Amino acid sequence: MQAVGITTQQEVFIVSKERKFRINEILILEDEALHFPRGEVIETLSYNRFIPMGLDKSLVDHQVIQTLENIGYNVNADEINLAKLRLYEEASHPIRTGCAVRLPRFEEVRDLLVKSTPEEAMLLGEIRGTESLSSSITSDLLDQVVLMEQGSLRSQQGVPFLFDIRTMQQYPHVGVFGGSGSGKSFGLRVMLEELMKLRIPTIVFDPHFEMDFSQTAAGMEERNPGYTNRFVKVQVGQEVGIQFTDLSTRDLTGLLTAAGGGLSESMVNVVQMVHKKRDSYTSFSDRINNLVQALEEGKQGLEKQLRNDHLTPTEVQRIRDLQKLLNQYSTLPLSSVKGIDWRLKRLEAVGLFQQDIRSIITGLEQGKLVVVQGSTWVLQVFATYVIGALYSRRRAFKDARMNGEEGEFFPPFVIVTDEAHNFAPKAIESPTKSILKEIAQEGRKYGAFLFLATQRPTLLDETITAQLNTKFVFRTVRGTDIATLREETDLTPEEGKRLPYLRSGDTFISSAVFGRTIFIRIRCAHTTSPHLANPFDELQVVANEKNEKIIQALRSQLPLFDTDLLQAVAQINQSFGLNWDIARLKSELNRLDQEGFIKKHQTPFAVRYDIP
Amino acid sequence: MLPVSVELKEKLARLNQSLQTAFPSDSFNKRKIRDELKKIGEFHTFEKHSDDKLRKWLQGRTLVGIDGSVNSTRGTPNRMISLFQALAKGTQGEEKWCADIYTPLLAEDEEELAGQAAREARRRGAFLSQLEIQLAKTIIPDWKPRVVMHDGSLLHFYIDNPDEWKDTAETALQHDTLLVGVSEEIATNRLARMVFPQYKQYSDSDLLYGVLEVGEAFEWREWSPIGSEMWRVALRSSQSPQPIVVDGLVLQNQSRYELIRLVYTLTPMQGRGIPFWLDIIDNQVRVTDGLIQAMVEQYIDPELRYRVLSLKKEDRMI
Repeated sequence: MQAVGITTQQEVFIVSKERKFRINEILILEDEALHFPRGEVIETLSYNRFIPMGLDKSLVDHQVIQTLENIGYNVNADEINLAKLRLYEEASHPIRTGCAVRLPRFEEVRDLLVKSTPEEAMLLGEIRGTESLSSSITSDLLDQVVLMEQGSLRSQQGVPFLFDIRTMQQYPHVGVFGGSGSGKSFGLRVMLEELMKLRIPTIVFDPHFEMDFSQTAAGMEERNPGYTNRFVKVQVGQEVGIQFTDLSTRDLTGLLTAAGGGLSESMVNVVQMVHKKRDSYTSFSDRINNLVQALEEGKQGLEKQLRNDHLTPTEVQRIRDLQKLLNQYSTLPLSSVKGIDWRLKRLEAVGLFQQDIRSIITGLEQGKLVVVQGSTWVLQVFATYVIGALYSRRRAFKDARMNGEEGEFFPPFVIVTDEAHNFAPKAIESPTKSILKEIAQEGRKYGAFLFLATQRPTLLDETITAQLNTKFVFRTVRGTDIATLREETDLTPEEGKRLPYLRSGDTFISSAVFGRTIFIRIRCAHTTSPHLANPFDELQVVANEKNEKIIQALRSQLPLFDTDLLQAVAQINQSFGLNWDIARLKSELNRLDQEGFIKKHQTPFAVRYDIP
Repeated sequence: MLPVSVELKEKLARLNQSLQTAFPSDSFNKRKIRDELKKIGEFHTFEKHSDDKLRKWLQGRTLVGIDGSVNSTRGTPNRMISLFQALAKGTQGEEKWCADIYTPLLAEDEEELAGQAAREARRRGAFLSQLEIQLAKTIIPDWKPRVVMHDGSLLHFYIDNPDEWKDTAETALQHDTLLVGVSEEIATNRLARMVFPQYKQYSDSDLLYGVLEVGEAFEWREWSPIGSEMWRVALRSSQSPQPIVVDGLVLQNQSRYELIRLVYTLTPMQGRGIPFWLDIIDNQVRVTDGLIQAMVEQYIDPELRYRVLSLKKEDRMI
């Protein structure tokens, strides 16, 4: 291997006859004057001058090449391999052309690749292009991960990629970007496993109901340390909800906004006027409800009711209350109050106000990973509240500490969410966004960190994107997203071009910690998502099960004459909990005959169904 | 638009007319020419060798291609350096290089200036063929190849260096090595003279253009000059309508069809019709302008270079 052609301070072409270059591998230039600079292969080419491209020259047919091969000459041996190498640090003058190039030993490049230990850091995968270091790699880094490649498991060959979570203090927040099928969800799963390994308090919003860590992935039995005790799974409206009395008027406005479209000015006004501190759900919703009633009746309507002689004292009292309410809020428009009313009911209907977030707090305090599940809109509503609540707890503790007070301990924590563009959309105001933005900008002071994943980086709020100091970029096909990622990361034009063609599970990591882009393959997850079964396989399975059941039901009745069907159908319905009529039984019998499970015999007197 | 003078355009159009008259297309009727050629020679159609057969025929021995190249520094005819290079390359990995340089600058006897350029050119041609013949003579006993294939006609070795050529041919016969020359230019007009005695300007290649089918060869026993002891065949070895010439030793006459098949087998269907093996060697041996320039700059002192070798027009600004 040697440097050829025109060299610059940053880049140099390397040629080799024997060795094929691998993308992203590290090479050392033996230029003594520049103190043996190191560089990374960013482009690879192969060329055979005897097999030119047929644009301006004629094509060499395969037959001739094969004939030559057959009589002993291998044209392929004349292949030349070229690589473009970029130096990690700019040299003071161009590299000497013709200088020798060699593969490094691990200790020569350790500082570029590894900045932590496997015990202390998140072990996310293998750095691509480091296979040639395998012989000199130190034992503490050997066999740390297993990888899935082309559908089969393989052991680690290169250097493992360690993401030191402690560096988040300096370079907070992580972004995970990639289209569907790019391996983004698997990447996120691996990150969560590692957060659990390190016992970092984490809250995950899971709109897909896929974050369960109790099922071990195939072939991972020995590696899986058992995550069952390290995570809690809660569902909004069942295990967790919002304590209404804790809500400030501002919180409530936020919640109602998230519950359905934006709130109009006058609706916000309604909430501000009507909501009182320490209101419970009942007290607040009653008040709104009554106000609707009062406004609907109107002043005169209520007075007319009072004139009715048959009223009980309670009813009188109620009407007087309504009158009082009407006097107090007579300026509020009925439609806005009604708007608040239905939004409130919508939130109540999903059980949002029936629980509190105590289980989440306990989980975090125990250093667990708390998975919060719910449909997308419910999660948005809930996330606004819960993130705000957790963040202010942590902040209160830190602020108290700062002021020399004891304060109630609340741990630092990590917030993880997929489909982050729903939580913090660009150009649209959303309550979740404002809290995420706040954490993005000053969360590191208090030890609150974000892991945001999305397949549409273009739709994610720009201030937040800019604060994500480490970005994992998986395969991305959409042009606008590639452009956004190019702008937001230090991906080079060459790397940008590779984005649409990355293999699932391969990712660029653009990190302020490393100060450059690293290309890795995400390790195989220890656990697997509960939805891995293909829905179409499921269809097949259910159909088979149903068939089994019917055949079983019918077998007991065979042989069966069509004169006895009435009796048979009653018995079958009874013993197998079905609800068939004769027509259904007949059609099922005919179907099974066609599929060969039973045999239908036509006799002069009747039709007989029998075992084939 | 290209800035071309109107006069030039008119003169070219007139030339086209004259060429049409001198080479009337009806006299190049394919069938007619074939009929004429049949009277004096034979047509043969060849198939490509199958891999097995070819291997068997080569008897496990190597196939060697030889090619040479010459190029000169730019300068007046007696103020230049010529670099010669020849390469013999066997299909089993053998390689032998041979090189020389020549310059009229140090020639002993002062020659007349008239006709000097042409003489120098001829001398360079002879020099190169001598290099190639020597190379063949050395490698045949060493590698004992089954076939030695020259890029260029064997006839031209015979003309340039008859004595050396005889030696080489004898060495080949001793070692049972078949010699074959492949030339992309026909460069003779004996055949045209035979068929069209009335048209003096016709050459053999004008005549044979498009007449042969792909894989077809035309053999005329008297094509080679008497005394050369060589057979000579025109072969359309690719889709190009212009045939190539294959020649060999009369003493190895019995193998000539096999040699023609070999040439045909090794030739890509597209392209000019020269075996790919020879193209590979040509690619390696070629003395390019860049190579000359680099070598001269490296080894000739700048003062000498500028005083003796360089041309003023090389320093043109645009």
